[in-house]
Amino acid sequence: MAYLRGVETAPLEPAGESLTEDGSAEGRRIPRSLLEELWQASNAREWGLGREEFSRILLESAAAQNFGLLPGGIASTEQQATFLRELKLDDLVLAKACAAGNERAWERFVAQYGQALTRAAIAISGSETVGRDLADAFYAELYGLELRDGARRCPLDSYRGRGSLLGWLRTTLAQRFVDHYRRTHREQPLDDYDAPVGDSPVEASPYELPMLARAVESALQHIGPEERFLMAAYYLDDRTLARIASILRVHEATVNRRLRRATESVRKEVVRNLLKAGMSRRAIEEALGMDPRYVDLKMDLKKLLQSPRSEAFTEKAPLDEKASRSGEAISNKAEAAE
Amino acid sequence: MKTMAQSGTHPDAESLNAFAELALPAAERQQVLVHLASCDRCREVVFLAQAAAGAEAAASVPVASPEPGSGLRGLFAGWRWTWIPATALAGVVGFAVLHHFKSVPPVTEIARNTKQVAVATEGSVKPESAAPKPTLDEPSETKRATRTKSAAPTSFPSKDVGTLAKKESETANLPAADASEMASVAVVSSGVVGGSAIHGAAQKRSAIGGPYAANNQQQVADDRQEVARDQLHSARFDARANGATAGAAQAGLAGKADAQGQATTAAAPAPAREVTMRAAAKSGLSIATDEVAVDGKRKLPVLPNGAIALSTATTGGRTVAIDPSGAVFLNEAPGAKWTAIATQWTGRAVLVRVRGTSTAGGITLEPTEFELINDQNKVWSSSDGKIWLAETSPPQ
Repeated sequence: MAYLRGVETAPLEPAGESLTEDGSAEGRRIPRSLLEELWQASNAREWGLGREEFSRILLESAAAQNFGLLPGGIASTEQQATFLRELKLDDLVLAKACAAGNERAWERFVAQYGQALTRAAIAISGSETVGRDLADAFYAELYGLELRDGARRCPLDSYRGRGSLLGWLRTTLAQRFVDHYRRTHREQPLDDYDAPVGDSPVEASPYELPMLARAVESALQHIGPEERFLMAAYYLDDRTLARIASILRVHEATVNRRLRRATESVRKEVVRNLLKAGMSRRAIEEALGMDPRYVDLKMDLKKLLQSPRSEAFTEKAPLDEKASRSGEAISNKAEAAE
Repeated sequence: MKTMAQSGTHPDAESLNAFAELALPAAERQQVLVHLASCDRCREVVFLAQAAAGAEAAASVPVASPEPGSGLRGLFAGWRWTWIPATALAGVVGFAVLHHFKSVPPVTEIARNTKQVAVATEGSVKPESAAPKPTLDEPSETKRATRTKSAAPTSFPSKDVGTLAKKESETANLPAADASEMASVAVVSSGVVGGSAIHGAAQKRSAIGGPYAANNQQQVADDRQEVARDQLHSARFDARANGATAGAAQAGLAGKADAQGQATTAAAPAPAREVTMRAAAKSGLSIATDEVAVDGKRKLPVLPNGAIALSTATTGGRTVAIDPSGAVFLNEAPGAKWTAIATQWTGRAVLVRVRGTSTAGGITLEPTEFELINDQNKVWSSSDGKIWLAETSPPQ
């Protein structure tokens, strides 16, 4: 249960609140033929979910994600139908039935995901003991033992059916583990932390260092989000090319190629910036040949690389506003329809 | 695990999972990617969840139990990249074959340089044409012209002789670049087909022997091969037309020689027997027959026993012929009668040809001797066609 205490839940996780059973679903009903098609394709009948309840679940899921569009976007009828058809309907109704306390659904859930969840927890934690503890705690949370505002809360209620339920369970487990790890390690005394020390870092001149810092900062701000993700995962997180490739669902060689291009692009941009600043090529080569750990300590490359100051970060709307905006978009659309 | 300051909000598990499962539309995926680029907490979550999925997948993989039918696939599993050099090698070989065939002069050109010999025997001789079913009463002159045009090695009348001619064509089309495969099989049927055996071998010789002719054969011999081929076409057609050679066909030759030149012969009961001239081709034999001149028209001789000659050779006005059963006949003058020659050799005679004498300078003079080869690749020679003496050295 240690994993459940003190872990902040992400602001995006609560269920959408745009549609309710009475009012806001008005004018947002799923066409009867489509609803019948989806209802027949799902196991809703097995869990005792009627068409109305099933429709409400779908509309909640769609409203929380604005039919897969960015906040502010208005989905066409075709986009809505496509979004609904692509939902993992079986997983969605099973999760909703479990959240509603359906015993048969829980039996199915345990039978289908019990062992897998334990194995995933062990794999995530890297320890069987910790993994089983993590899995048990998560089970307890899923059963709704936790009360919030006096009401029983089940995380399965926030599952929206975009991805598989098993994947969602794994990701949620990973979130729990990471949050717990970070929270507990913040409390670790600094004496236990041994910072890596370079052998003999090349000292940059006080004149060159600010120029280099500005050049690197400027260069990093011009790379795209994917390149930034690649560089952060590879250079900061020490992920292997294979792991990164598995996340992006591309070939390892593709990751390698993109990473090399990004690195070369950054390097060229740094050189260009330094040349503009008046440094000679020889001085630039010497500066770029410095021990990166030294540069890292002085310039905090992590902070630069993960700085949300690039165009891609500033142009996009914050993710936490997505759910609320999608609700607004739906209500705006309903108003426009009127 | 790295600890660092994070921005206040994170995508929920739904979005991160959908991102990892490629279930997000492009715009939303880009949005999550932007966040992942700047948030090591969410990167950690995604990578951990992916690692768990990988571990689950690895655990769910069954212990290697070969599926039915997967054995061959598994056998070649490590060879999946070998198709690249194999394709390149096939391309090179194909180019070499094409280049070789371009360098070999067309067979029809050689055939035109041969003399046209008069034929005068009983029955009409119908030269073969490329038409599937030539008309028997068609003027022979017309057919001869057709035959001359259709004398290309790959244009043999496959429809006439069915699979037989098909096999012949296949044999004729064998890659010439592979000298070791000169022993390739010229499969023909017996009887008339006996003549076709020579035809097939001669054809193959013409097709693949181009580069080697300078080393092994004289140009005169090559020309005679082409003459023999044309001649045997006529013979085969004639046999089909008249039906008079059914007996000969039934008594046809079935010889099969292995790659070492050791010939084995079996008298197959079926009328369509096969003769494999592997040994002859392997040893570089010149499987050629000479034309028999009768009344100014080219025609294969019909021997006294009613069979079409399998192989003939003419020099000094004398003609020696072998019928499909291996009997040897001699014709001492154009228009004279055939006389049977007593067997003075072992095995069954399958080939007769003429042999020239060479001077010290390597120049070949007019052929003066007959050469008889049996089904065991042994050679006998004769200057008059009557007295045959065994040769000690293998034929050239």
